Amino acid sequence: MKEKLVEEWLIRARERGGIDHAYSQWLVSEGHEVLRVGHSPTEFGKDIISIAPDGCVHVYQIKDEDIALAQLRDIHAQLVDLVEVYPSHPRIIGGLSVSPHLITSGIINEVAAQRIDGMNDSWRARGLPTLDIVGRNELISRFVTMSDAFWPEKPKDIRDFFSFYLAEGKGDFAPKKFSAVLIELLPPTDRPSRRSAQRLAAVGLLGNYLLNAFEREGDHWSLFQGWTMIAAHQAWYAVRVGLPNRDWKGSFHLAVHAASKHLEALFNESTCESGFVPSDLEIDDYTRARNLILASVIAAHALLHEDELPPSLHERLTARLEMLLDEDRLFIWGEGAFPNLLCVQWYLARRGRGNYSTRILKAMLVGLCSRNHKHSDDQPLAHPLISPDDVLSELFQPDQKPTRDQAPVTWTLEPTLHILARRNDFRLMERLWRRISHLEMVSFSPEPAVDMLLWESPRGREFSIHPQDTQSKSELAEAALAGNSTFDIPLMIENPSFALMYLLAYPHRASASLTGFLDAHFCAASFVATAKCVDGPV
Amino acid sequence: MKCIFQNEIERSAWDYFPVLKEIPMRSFIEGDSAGFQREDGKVVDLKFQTISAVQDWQCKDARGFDPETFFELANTIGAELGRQMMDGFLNEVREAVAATGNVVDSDGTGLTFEKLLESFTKMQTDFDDAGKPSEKVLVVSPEIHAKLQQDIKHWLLDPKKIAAWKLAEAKHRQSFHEREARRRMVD
Repeated sequence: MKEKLVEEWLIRARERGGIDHAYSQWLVSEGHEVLRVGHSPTEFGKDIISIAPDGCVHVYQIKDEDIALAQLRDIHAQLVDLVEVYPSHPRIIGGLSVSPHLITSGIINEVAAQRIDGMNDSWRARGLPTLDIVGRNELISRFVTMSDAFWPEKPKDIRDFFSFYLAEGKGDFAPKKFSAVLIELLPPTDRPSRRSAQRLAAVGLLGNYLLNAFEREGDHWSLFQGWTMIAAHQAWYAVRVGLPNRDWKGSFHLAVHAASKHLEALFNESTCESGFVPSDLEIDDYTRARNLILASVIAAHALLHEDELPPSLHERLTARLEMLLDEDRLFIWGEGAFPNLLCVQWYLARRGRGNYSTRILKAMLVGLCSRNHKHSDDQPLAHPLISPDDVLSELFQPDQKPTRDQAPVTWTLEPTLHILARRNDFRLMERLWRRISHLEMVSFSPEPAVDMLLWESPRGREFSIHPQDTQSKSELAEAALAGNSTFDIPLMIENPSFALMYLLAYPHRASASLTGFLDAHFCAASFVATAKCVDGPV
Repeated sequence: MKCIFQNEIERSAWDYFPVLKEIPMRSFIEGDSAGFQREDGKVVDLKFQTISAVQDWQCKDARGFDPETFFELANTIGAELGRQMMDGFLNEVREAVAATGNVVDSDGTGLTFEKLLESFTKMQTDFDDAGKPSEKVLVVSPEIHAKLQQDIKHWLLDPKKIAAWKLAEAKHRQSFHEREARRRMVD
């Protein structure tokens, strides 16, 4: 069954964001250090570069097609580059032994194999390395062997595993269930071992199968969430088991890379001319909710790759986001929209649009004051875990299940107040403080803290508190500045990029400390320059 | 079917004591403990308590329940759960009232106007933006409820009682404004 599943996946998987990542995870499980995974005009035939435990450098060209003579001719130049051009990477000094490999999820036919043999003779005669070829059957064997011991075994786990494999793949990604599957695949052990490290890499490989349906349908948002969660769960497991960095960081970074690639794919879709045009008949609020997600994807990708994007593109992106705000094209469906709003405002702040950035925060504050107030006639902004789909379904198609009013608490007031206070922008807070002080702020502290990397933490404390009746501005500013310094998850501190992706994928973890840390990272300097613009209209 | 049965249990639980429906609900999604900070700064731990209701039924060969029996079973379970929720709620209120010293003892005289006024005076009262006082709910037995309806009609005809009530409300309003005036930002 495992062989059939892997084979089916290999037949469907794509060269980019599929086979390359899976193969990289296999390399990690074999003890390789993967230096680069990617496809660019300057790769010179090398989709993956790794260093084996013996110090030998390996370079790989990845394909997702059957290779006969015709295909071999098509990729001839890439193979010549792969074998003949010495890999360029800061970690690789000259004169090392380099082994080139052609990896394909297809079948390499006999004639093509003979031709490669001939090419190898020629390279050998010139003192060059020879090309190793790996086709589908060998890949199946490697992938199955690598993860064989770590597949789910209990009937329930197998059912959950397959429910993802067989999902529709169009927006039906269920994060809570996904986390449960990952936790089953990563049972904590008493002490770290080589097997724990292999298990971690195996989860990176199994993640490909779990997310297969979303890959097939090109649901990049779900894939982004899924890979971010895989990375987070790998980090959680590594910390809980006490794995040394060398045994898990490689696999973790590959999962982060996969998530980042899907964020980029969605960015590319969103920035094309019809990127925001609904593909089907839909209610405008639904479109506006998706607009906000896409806007946050644009902002997040641009924040993470700020220096790589040309200035003209930054201008175009900024204008796009300003238009969405000016024309009220973004819908705050609930408190779960907060991370998306934060990304947009961080990006706009960095582009010198502090007034737009502050407008977003103030809109959130006004929304909370009007809707999450105990005397509000309106429903409170929904809990961060409630998706836009669920909010809109409830709005337009209330079901018959008896419901009770939700207590009007808020999870995002404290971070909103802290970010405004960090920017020394108290004008709106002053005006609204009477209402603000009536709101009930809730936060959750997982126990241990690393459990924040799980979707739901079984242990931990939920705590609610009202803002002070009489609030000193300087004390609030001090608390806001101290808040991000108490953020003590080393993984996030070392990887602010991952922290940003995590915030988008885990909307219910938008604590004051995490958002404060990210605000300091992305925006500390921006607001020195734009401090005079912060009193724009709400 | 399970879902319908479950929904009916929930509906019955809330219907058992309609005041339950008026209390906004908060779901705890993760973690194993919770607490909150009171206005006086004291941290209070929340107590999670399991409630349960038991109901037996016998399934007959090749025969399901008729709709009336099916819903009656759910209603019975729901009502029992509602009763336990309400008991828990009232116990919490009793303890909180005792802790704050706001107990009003009827001294065996029943719920007189004076006792009702004393209760009203002791309860913190907020006002909405339109100046309307927050609603209060009085939980009493059906017999007292019927008597109270009659008594209120008489009390409303007595100008002294109305004046006393209005005075208490005015004091509440003043306290409320004083409290609200403290809600501000300072340097």
